[in-house]
Amino acid sequence: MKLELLGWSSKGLRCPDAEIKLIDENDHVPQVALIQMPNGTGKTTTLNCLRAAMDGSAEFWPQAYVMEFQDSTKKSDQGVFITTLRVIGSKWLIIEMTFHFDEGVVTYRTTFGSRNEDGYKPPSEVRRYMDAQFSKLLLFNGELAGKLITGFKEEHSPSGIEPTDANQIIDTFYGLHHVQELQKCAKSSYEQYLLTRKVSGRAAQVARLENALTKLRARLRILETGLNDSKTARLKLEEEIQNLQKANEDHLRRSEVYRKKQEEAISSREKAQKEIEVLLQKIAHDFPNPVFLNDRVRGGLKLLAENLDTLKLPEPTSRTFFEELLQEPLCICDREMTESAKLAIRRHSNKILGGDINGFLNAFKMAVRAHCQHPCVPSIGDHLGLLNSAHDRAAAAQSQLDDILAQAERQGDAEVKSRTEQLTAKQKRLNEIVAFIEEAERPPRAGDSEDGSCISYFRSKVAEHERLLAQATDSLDRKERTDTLTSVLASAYESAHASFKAAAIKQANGQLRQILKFNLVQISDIDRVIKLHNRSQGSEGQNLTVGYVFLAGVLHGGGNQFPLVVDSPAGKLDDEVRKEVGTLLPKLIKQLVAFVIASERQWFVEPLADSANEDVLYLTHLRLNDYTRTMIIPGLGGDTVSNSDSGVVIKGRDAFFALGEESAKHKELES
Amino acid sequence: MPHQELKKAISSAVSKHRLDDSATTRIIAWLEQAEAGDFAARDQEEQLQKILSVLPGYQNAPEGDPKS
Repeated sequence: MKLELLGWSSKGLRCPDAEIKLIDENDHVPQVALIQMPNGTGKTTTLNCLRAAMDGSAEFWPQAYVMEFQDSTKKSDQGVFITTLRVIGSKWLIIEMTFHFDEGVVTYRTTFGSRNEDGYKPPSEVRRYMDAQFSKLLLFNGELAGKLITGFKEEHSPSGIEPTDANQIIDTFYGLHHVQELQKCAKSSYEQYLLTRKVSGRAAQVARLENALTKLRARLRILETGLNDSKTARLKLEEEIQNLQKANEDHLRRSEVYRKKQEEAISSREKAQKEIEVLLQKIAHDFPNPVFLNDRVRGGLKLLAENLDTLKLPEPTSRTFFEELLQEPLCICDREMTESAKLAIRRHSNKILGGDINGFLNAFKMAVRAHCQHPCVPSIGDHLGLLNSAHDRAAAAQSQLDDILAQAERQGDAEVKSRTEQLTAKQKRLNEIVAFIEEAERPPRAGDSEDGSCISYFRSKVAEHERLLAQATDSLDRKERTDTLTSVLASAYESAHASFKAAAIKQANGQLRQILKFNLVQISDIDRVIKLHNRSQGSEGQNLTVGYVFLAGVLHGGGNQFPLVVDSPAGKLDDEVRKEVGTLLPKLIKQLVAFVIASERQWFVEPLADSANEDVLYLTHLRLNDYTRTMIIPGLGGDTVSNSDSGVVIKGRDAFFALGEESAKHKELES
Repeated sequence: MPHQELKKAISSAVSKHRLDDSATTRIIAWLEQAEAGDFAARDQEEQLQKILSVLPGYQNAPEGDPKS
């Protein structure tokens, strides 16, 4: 699927009346369109309208929200926002939104090719990409890419659009969210069904069960959310602790007094840790071997092999051998094959020939014999002994390092003292979190109660109460069907999600190897956030790179192309990171429409334009008032491509870069 | 149309639960309509009932049902 954003126009809305054309007279849509809109030009209004054009959500906007789009100066009864898209490189799709401010509603009109009809009716080929879930992926704030790694704190967008997470991106793109919708639909339909199933005489029992179920579900939800949050917090704390420990060690390494002792202790700890690693690998490798677990197995096997029948051959395969031998002039021992010899062979062969199992038993005997000839291999006991000793050495080295730190602290080293205090506090918090995770994830056991935090216990209690409620309302049959459906859907979702996720990780990691050659970061897993190999986060630049690579990989996978509309892509970034992101975006995104303000240009726009081979459209959109009319616009130059009594759009690189500079020049002249 | 990989996963889950193939067809039909948009709540419920009608109820659950 190829979808391109060709432009939009607005009239009678909070943003100035204007037309933005991204396509030129040769039907070319530039890879990058930079739209510079100073604060107060109606950027948020434009972005919200674009989003609503991409998902049809304005039909459901509350009246008060619709009124926020009204031009406060003119107070006209109607406003119009028209978005133009191109589908698969040929047909134009025009979404027209009319704001009826007298009623507080928005209506849609859709034009596709020669078809023109009321309502939000994108053609079937793009319909699945034009919903509220998907529009979140196409229009987003520049911080989204980084937050796919660092995670979303409790955020609430004023437009009511929830932030999306990495898992949801996969689900949305591949339509898995509809599987979840069907699950929800089945569950809520069953809940509705239960409400109609009031069986006389059991009202009190049903009410009691419903109450208990509500409480159990609420507790379960709290625990599941807590578990997720705790796992994220654990990763973060572990990394912080590691960084603090490393900072302490690096600090002491620079001190003449402690350096030698410390280096010895660190070297001894590292040696012990390597031994531990090797031993653990060895144990894991040998674990399936029963002899490794207990040497008595070797003796037992030998005894068993010795006690098996001797001189037996599998009958079906060996009988032919004897029959052919009887036809030979000489026996295998070189004696002549006389009649009496033939008789003896016939008689003995019947004793020797056994069933099929004898072939296996002979092979087994040979294997045991060969095994017993080998010298004794170290058993698990030996390995555990070595492991304990390595562990003791690592602990002793660590304790030496702790002593050095304590000594430095006693000597008044303020840096060490402050870090050690932080470490103690973080370690305490980590212990609490680990204890909670263990408790939440353990299997249920006798004596568990609703005061505890074992998630499995609460899940089984919820299931038990649901069943009791179904019994009490004579709804077991419907429950069985609903459970079967949700179980089928859960299983299909899990398998499809795992497969899409694996493909997304593989694709992104391949691309990251190309882009971050000198400072490689790889994705290890995708959950609510993207998890990186051996670290919880990268640098700001790495996080954004990984986020954009993942996002663009999913959106442009399988030959698809969608426009990405990014608000403030370089807003809060350092200069270096701006350069990195500016260079990166055109490599990943086939159509980027970025809304920027003047302060974002520096370090960002030039690398971006270079990387896009100058296939960039520069637009500056200004609100018209006395100040802009007299002080700003005359100094900008460029071509005015849209002009109304409330706004102007100027095309051109020089005008784009001149905005903000002319006021500085003006101030300079005045002084 | 739901993604091929998703269709395969549904079909495999249906057969793992030892259910009739018609369950796959009806689930995919529901998803198709959801993707196409304009899937009114009443139609959703109607299509859902069509799926539920081909699933085993309380008395005739397949033996060794994997969900239990």
